[in-house]
This record gives sequence, C-alpha cells and structure tokens, in this order.
Amino acid sequence: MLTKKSVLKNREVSYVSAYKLYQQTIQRPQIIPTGVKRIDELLDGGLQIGRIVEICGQPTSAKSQLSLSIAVNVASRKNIETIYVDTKHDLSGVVIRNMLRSRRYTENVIAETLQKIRVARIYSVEKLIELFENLDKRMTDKDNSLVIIIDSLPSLMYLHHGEAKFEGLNLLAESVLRMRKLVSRHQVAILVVNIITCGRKWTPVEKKKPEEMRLQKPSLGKHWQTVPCVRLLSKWIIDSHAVSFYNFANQMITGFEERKKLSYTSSLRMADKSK
Amino acid sequence: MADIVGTTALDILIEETKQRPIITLCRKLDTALGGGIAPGIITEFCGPPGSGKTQFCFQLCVNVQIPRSIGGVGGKAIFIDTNQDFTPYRVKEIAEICSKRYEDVFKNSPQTSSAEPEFSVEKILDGIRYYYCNDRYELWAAIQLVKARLKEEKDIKLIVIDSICSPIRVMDDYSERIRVLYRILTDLQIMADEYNLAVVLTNNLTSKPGENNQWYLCPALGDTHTHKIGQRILLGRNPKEKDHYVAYLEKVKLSPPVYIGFKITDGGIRGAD
Repeated sequence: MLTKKSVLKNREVSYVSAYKLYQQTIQRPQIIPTGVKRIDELLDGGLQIGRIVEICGQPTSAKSQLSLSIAVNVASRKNIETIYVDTKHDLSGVVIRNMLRSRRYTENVIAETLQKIRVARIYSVEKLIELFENLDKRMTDKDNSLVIIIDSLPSLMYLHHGEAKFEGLNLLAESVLRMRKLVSRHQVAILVVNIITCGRKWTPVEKKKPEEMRLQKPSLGKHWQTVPCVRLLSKWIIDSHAVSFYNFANQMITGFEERKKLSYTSSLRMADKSK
Repeated sequence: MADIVGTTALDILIEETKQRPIITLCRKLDTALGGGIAPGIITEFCGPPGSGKTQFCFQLCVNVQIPRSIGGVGGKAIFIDTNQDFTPYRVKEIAEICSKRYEDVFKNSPQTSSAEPEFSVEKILDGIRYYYCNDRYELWAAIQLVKARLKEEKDIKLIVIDSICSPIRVMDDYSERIRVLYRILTDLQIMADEYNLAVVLTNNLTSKPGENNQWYLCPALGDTHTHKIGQRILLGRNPKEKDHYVAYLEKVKLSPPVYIGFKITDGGIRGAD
C-alpha cells in the first residue's frame, strides 16, 4: 500500500541547482546534427538531447524518407546509436543501401552503417511502452547518446480510435510519460512521425463546404500537441504530385464518358445543381 | 544499450535479398517494383470500375504458383472476395496460358530434369483458396482463420482481399471505421512479416473537395488508410489508346511516381510494348 512514508522512502525526489544543470549542458555535446542542412538550420543545429521533435505531413509527403535519411546520417556519426521504431514495415534495407550507394560509400562502410541502425518492428502501443521501459532500465550514464525515431506513432494509436472509455488516450499519455522520463534521465533525443488528417467529425458531404473539409491538422489529439518541442511540417512545395494524380484521375473520367459507362462527372454535376 | 533491439538494418537487408517477389508479367512494372510484388508489404491496387484491379489479383494468384525451379515463388494463394468478383472461368483462362508457356519453356530447355514439377491448370486452380465474405465480421473471421492456419501451411505466399473498401465503407461512425480498418491492416501486416507473404488489396475511388471548390477523385478510405499501407498503385484506362491501361505508382518503395502502360490480354496482364 502506498503510504506517505513508503513513498518518501522509495522515491528519490531531490533538487538540482540550475547552475549545475547549466554546467552539465556545457560539458556534454547536446546537439546531434541531422545531416540534412536545411533541417539543421530549422532546428538550430539538429536534434537536441532531452527533447522530442515531431515531423508531420500528409501521406506520401516523404516523412518516412526524411526520417530514414536522418537515421542514416546519425548512424554514420561516431558515438551515437540509433533505434528506428518501424510500426508499418516502412523501413527497407534496399532503400537504405541505395541511399548510401548514391553517396559513393564503399560496401564495407555501407554494411557498418546498416549495422548501426537498430530496427524494432512494433505493432502495438503496449510493446512501445515496454521498449521505453527496458531502455530506461538498461541505460547508464556512460552510454553513448541515443536517437530514437518512431515511424509512426498514429499508426499504433489508431488501433484504439473511437473505443469506449479513453480511446487509448491513457496509453498515449503513458507512452508520453515514458518518453519524457527517458529523455530527461539519459542522453536521448526522440523524433516522432505524425500524420495530418481532416477533422475527425464526419458529416454528410452535402452539408459541408469544401473549405471546411479541407481543414487539416496533425492527428493524435490535443494532449499530444503539447508534447513535442518542435513540429516540422513536411509538404510538397509545388503540388505537382497531386496535380498529376488528379489529371490522371480526370483522364479516367473522360475515358468513361466516351464509353458511356458509369460516369463520375454526371453525378458530380447533379451535386452542383443541388447547391 | 541499443542492443535491447536485436535486429539491425543489415539483417533486414540480408532478409530482403533472400526474398522472392511475385512477378506481375508486365516487365516495366516489375523493374519499378524491384522484381515484382514484394513479400512482407501491403500493396494496394486502386482505380475506377473496369480498370483491371481484379484482373491483377487473378494474375498474381496464378503467378505466385510458378515453380521455384524457374525462378517463381512456388506458393499458394488465398483470395478473400467481398464483392462477388471472382470468376473461376477467367482464372482458368489465365492459368491455361501460363501453364502452356511453362511447358514450352521446359521442352526447349536443354537440361530437362526428370523431377519436373507439375504446373497443370488443375493444380493452379487447386492452389487458390477462395473465401467469400459478406460483411466486416466475416472478413475479420476469415483473416483470423487464415492466421491460425498459416502455422501449418507455410506455402501460402499471397493473400488477396478484393476489395477492402466495400465492407469497411458501410460503417457510419468515422472513428469506428478507422479502428476496424487499422486492426485488419495490422493483423495482415503481422502475418506478412511473420510468414513472409505478400498482401494485395484493392480499393475504389471516391470524390474529395479540393482547391477552388472543385471535387477531385481520390482513393477511398481516407488519408489514414493511405498512411498505413506500404505501397499503392493506381490503375486506369488510357483514354488515348483503345484497350490500353495505365498504372501509376503513387507510393512505391523503390521507385519515384511514374506511369506504366499495360494491356489485359486473354492470358492476363502484359506490358503494353
């Protein structure tokens, strides 16, 4: 049972003077450059130890590609270890090898770099929490700095979306606590990949203005928004990707009109009239 | 201390180089995909009706059974049907031509071994296991059933769900829809990971509001679904040429987004050139 005495006995809560903290930050290298020049500029030098950084963006906006290159760049530095938490089988060894080959590295260096990236394939939040717990137990002060890249967190959280009671928000809150604990106690920096979605409440399309539906925000809810210290938005500058896709799709529509089969445009015209 | 996590990216690379992808018989598509539909990844075919999604599924169900001796996978396929699109007659047609081609190859090859594995039409059709699922509960049950069976039958190398969107779209609660979808996809991903099999889904198109109050076509089930699947290929007719189709590699690991032409012949999917 938790009593006042047992709590005071078992938990060490002590203060540190701000001056000591300041000295610690000077002594240790606190910033790990990501190796991507523009991102380093945005982040004031790179990933900071003790902080959580988020990358968010729509699907196919190269979030995974960015986090992979950061993992590769960090792994090719000395005295830093990398853990890549892969929640949707996104990490491909061939892709990393091609990335390194394009930089004209020798095969030996490629193999060494690949060996330095640890990959954890995790398919539930509970397992993620377990990983954080194990890391917290095993890490000591003498260890190298560690960068943890989580690609992606919403992919685990959506398994509990809309559930009765807490919708898995308690699990999210717990993993946040573990992350913060890990980051504050040890030499750890965390990078989390998040996605951007339309608002969650779905109403019939007729009642909704297009602008309203396009209102997009990072997923994982309000609580998560307070967690990362920096949020990077990954986006196509020229929307050529989407444009080409829509052109392609529209071509398909015209193809259908010619054949006088089920036509998308006619149903869309009907929708226009109802306005 | 990072060795709490046992696997390294090198282990994954070695594993990937050992794997045999399932060829699509469309050469350009195969090269772009790195040899074919890769095992361990969820691949989605997406397009309007009549764009060749189901044809691709039939072709892959046959191709997965090409014997290992000539560089195939030599596995079996599971076909989970949710909108009654499975036509055994058409599968037989594709299988007949594939089997004939295989026999021709063996006749012409100089070192014909006596232990030539059989690749007859009956055997191909026998190697496709068909499940019909009417709603999401049946789909869930079928996936669980397959999952339990995989421990014994390790020669299953392909799971096809045609289509994933029809049982999911009936749900009116948006959050429930995402939850059910993610649970199904996670289960499929775990199976693909553990037993090294390819998962192929098909999906329909829907319209979505975009710039200037216009409506655009986009794959159904939303951005959250796009996030979870590994690869997506959009299919459509080529409006300029008759009986020509186009595949657009929207989200593929080893290739930038490109267009690739293909044809649907009596023998199934072939390259357009």
